[in-house]
Amino acid sequence: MNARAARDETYVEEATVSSLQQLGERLRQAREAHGLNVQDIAARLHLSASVVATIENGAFEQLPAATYARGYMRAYAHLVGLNPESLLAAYDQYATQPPELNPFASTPQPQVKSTDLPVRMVTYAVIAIVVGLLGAWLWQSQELRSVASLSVPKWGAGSDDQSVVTEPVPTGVSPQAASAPAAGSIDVLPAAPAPPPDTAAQPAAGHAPPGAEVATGPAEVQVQPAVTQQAAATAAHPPSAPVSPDGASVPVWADTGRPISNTVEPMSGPRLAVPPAEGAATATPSDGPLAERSMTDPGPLTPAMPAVPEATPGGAKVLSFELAEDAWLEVTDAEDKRLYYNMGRQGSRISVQGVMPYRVKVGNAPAVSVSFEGRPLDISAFSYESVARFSVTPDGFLAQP
Amino acid sequence: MFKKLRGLFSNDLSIDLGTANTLIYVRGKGIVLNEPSVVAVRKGGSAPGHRSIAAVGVEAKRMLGRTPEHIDAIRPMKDGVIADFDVTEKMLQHFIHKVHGERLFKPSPRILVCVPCGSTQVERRAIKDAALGAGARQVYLLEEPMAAAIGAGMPVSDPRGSMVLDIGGGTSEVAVISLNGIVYSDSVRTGGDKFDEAIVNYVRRNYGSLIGDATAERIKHEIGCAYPGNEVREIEIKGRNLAEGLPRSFTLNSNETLEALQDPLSAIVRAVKAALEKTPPELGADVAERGMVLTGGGALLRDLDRLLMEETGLPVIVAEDPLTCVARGGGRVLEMVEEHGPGVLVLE
Repeated sequence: MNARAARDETYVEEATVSSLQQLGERLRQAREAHGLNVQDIAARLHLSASVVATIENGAFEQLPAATYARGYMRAYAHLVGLNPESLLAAYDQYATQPPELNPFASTPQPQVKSTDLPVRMVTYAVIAIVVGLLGAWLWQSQELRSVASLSVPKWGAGSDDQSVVTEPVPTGVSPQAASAPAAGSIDVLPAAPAPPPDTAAQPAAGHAPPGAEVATGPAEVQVQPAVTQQAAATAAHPPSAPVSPDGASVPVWADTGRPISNTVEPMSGPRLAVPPAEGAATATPSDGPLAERSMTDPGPLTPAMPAVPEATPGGAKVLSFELAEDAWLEVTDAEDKRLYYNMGRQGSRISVQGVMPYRVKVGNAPAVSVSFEGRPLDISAFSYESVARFSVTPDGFLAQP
Repeated sequence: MFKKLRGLFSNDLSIDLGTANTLIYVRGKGIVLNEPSVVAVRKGGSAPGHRSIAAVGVEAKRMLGRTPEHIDAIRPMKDGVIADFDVTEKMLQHFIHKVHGERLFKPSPRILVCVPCGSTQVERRAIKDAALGAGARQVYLLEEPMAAAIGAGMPVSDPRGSMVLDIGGGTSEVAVISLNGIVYSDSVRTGGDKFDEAIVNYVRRNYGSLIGDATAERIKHEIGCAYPGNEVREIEIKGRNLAEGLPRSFTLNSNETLEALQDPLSAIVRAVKAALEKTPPELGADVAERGMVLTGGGALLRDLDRLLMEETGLPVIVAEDPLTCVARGGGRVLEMVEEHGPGVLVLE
């Protein structure tokens, strides 16, 4: 009972302890001073004797946890009349605090749920990418379709631009040509002068016996400066070049193409500026057909020309097609009357006449050469996948249908 | 969105919303608030039935039982759960603001609140809603005995049985814990308040005098004991004599309080014995070897450990700083939540 008595009394002052072993030692000394053995203490504290022995040996690390060790020691100190606070302070100083229960062993890994932010973000990203790709694909296919339907107008616009761009060339030519006695001959030149370098030159030369040698001579000489001086002018133009540097050569050409110049003379007045522009514009994008046409068939122009004077007063102008191969032709006039609507046979030549303007559709366009009032028109700019659609205005321009 | 932003400027809190005291633990700072769960409400005012807060905490507790007609000193918690929702919400709001001090941003902390293990879903929901209403960004609930065990430094993660007895103001909770889980728990609605009530009844019965709760609490703190000791302490108190209707003073000693507290103490002992009875034998053996740990304000009752030791034959240890165990344990769990996410420990 003296142990309990000690509880409520002032504690015996004790010396400071310097180790856990000393802590246990001090408790044992206090116990022995009270005449108690380990079993008594164990019975009072309801602890096993081994735990009491462990405390007295200072082997606190063998006790379950710091909480329990402190509790046992506090109770023990109470029992033997020691001040538990000073002992506990010593314990806190020397005891290696066992690692506390922080890592929760049985804590499950947090489940990844569809509502988690990263998961949601990834989902949104995937959806956005898929939608984006779908949109891009749709847009692209739309674009392709619109290109298919718009390509003709596009090309038409391009040719307009080209005509604008190339305009300076013919206008640059024409003032110089204007100094020549027969300015209208420019129109004629592409047909006649083309032959000289080629075989077509032979009939042309044969056509003009007097001074033919003389005529071709200077022409050939003058081609050189033309090429060098007028770089802008394409291959189709060299024939016109001899005109520009030297007006004197023009009469020579006029001589060779006598029948042509004859027919042109009356027209040269009203059409002086415009037709050459058109001719140049249409010629520049592809001089091939033009050259080809003029080479293979210099003739057609001559028969066409006589029609011009007749057509002009009537208001109905002649549009002619020359077919190198079979080709579909469709010509509608301003009154929606079909002037022609049929398959044109290879080698045939078709002329139509109606109320201007004409709307024209030509299948197999590369094999068809078109001329208006005997003047060749280049329809390549209006062709798309070998089908050309265009309209011909009363003054001989090509335009969008 | 704004709550998240404001959360950057708020400290996470662990709140022991007790019947008697509310404690707040701030992560990294420790216990920053320990005030009585009392709110003084001023009635009337601008509109009939309108109530406004007059005082909260210590100030309000001083008013308990001493208020004029237009002020009501309320203890909004009863038996560990909310008795007055609005007042509880206001009280929490007040405490949270007090903890955060004057800040530019309205605080929006994450809050862990401890609830009695015997509380119903409705009671838990009420506590959660009150915390949310007080401005919490997120509310976690944790069972009180678990928080108490963690706060007392018990090895709850070990595959060994640990028994904890948390005697609060309104309830006493006994639980056996192993592997971070509660194996057995029971809650009896007996606690510090019941002790006070028992003393009031005893004084009325034996001295024919009426004393208030505050006086009864003072008696409990100063001379209350749970096991007969050698020394007999005395206290002089004043109460209204029921026969004369006048205040009279008389002396009460510790043995009388022991007698007065017999009923509530035996209720707690019964609960502990029932827990030991229902604990699986392996865990029961662990508990018998290591003993049980007392936490909560009730553990401060003199010789309560001795009473339990003699009644159960087990070693009984009073935790260090038993009043703050629950709040500290909640703080530890909050850190865990930060690190590992809400796992098994947290209820919701």
